Amino acid sequence: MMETNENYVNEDVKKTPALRKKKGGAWKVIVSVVLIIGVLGSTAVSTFNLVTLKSYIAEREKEENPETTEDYVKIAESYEIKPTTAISDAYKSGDTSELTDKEKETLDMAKKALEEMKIKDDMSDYEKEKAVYEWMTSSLQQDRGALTVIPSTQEDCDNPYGVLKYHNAVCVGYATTFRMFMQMMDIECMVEHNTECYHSWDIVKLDDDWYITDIYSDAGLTNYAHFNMTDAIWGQEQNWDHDFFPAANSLKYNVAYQNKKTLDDVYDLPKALREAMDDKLGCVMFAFKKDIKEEDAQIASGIASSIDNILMSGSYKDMPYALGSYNWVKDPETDEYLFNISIPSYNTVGIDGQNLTDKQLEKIEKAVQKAFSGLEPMEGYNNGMSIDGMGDVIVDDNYSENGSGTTIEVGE
Amino acid sequence: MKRKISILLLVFALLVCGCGSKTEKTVSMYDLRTAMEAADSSLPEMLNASDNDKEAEDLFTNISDLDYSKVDSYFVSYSKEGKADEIAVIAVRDPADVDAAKKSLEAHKEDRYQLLNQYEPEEVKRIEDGIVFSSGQYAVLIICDEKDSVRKAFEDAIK
Repeated sequence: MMETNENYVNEDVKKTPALRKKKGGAWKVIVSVVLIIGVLGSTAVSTFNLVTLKSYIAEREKEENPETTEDYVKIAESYEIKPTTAISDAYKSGDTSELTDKEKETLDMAKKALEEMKIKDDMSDYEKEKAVYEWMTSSLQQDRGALTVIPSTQEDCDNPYGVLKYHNAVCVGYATTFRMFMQMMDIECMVEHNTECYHSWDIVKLDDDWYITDIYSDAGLTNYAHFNMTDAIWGQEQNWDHDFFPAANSLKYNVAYQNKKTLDDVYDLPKALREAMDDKLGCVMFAFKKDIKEEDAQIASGIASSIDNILMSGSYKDMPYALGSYNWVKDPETDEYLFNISIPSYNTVGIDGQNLTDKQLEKIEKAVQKAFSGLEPMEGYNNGMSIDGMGDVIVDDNYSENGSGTTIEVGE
Repeated sequence: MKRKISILLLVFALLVCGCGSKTEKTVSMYDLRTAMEAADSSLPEMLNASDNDKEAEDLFTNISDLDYSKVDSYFVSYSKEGKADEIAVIAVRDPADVDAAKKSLEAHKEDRYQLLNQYEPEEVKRIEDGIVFSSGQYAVLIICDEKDSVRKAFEDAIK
């Protein structure tokens, strides 16, 4: 019997499910492989992205919170703190063969400066540090070009070469030069900077204790206002990484502490402060016979604040523009509370000619006063003070304890 | 067909609007600076920089982080002694960028505050009292005693 199409067809039909099964299975394999590749690939990409993202975040965090270092920090985005141990090591060893010409010149100038300071081997570390502080604050001037909108500082104002050659420095220049001098004399010293990277100063080790000194702030004054401070005192004005830099907690070599005055109680502060200002002191510290309670501390702060307001309300000749910082510290020897006040600068009439001697300045002052005495103040002004807006101010002519003239009391 | 023509007309109209913000001619920065400085007689000795200077783009970075290609012209007048007094004007090419210019001057004002807070604390109140504003394609910073007079001088000059 001949095979009919029907039979043939039936055979095909019989075969198709198997074929279909075979073909359907192949597709499943392909799809499975593609899916597996996709999952693996996606996982790999995600992992890569995660690692990259973490790395990116870490980099950004590092940029925003860089690890603190002493050197190679840029202050005010322009001035870099750099080490000078090559120079101090060469000074101590006598071997200058590794120094650059600039470093050799710096060393020559530094040696000359140490001679001018009259540093002797038998001086204590404190005496040596004080001699360097006094020389730097009286011989060098602040480069105010760092404060202009478009900085115009002199070259090398941020390192000892420029500081010693041109006698012109920004804070980094003062700090690195002071540190170099300390290291030349084997006195441990670091350059600190604030967390905002806008200012730098020194921390120096004397007799196993650390002290903070900011030469820049006392430049031209030599009033010890920022000499051998503690963390508590300097912390009123600055923030820095306390985990990285050593703690400064000793008052032993702080000038205000060495000269502290003892008062009966906090209400004696105004008179004592006035005397300190008449003597043009840069920092003062007061102990009290009476036990200091919280209430006394608040009264003292209120007194300081009130004096601050009076000073800032007008520019009084030979008086401070304002008080600096004031705070309570503990006497390490007696454990009693001391009131510390810094008086950073005074409103002295500036005279051009920083190289004039005191005698010459005094002579100038006398001649000018003689020629310009008896001037009549303009309407609305009285003895250099504006009356406008100060209707409550009365002048007391009876103040005469040390003959310094009139004092001002705020009327009711 | 009508639909296609309408779409073409619409696209053309949008293109024309997109090109419509043409920058107006800015005033001379020299004239602006001298007029504004003259409005405050208590200004200390001032230095200045502008787009006319040799290193204008570099100097500009001292007052703003705005992309210099967006700047039509600028000037900054500042105290020689590092005091707070400062007057700065940035004219942008495209008025759409004036907000960015204003923000950059605000950031600069904050930088000045931070710097002088460290070294000249008696100056910081003057920076706090300073003003930053924009007018048309100008962004302006004024820090001085007579800031209202200086602002008026600016507004009169750009009329």
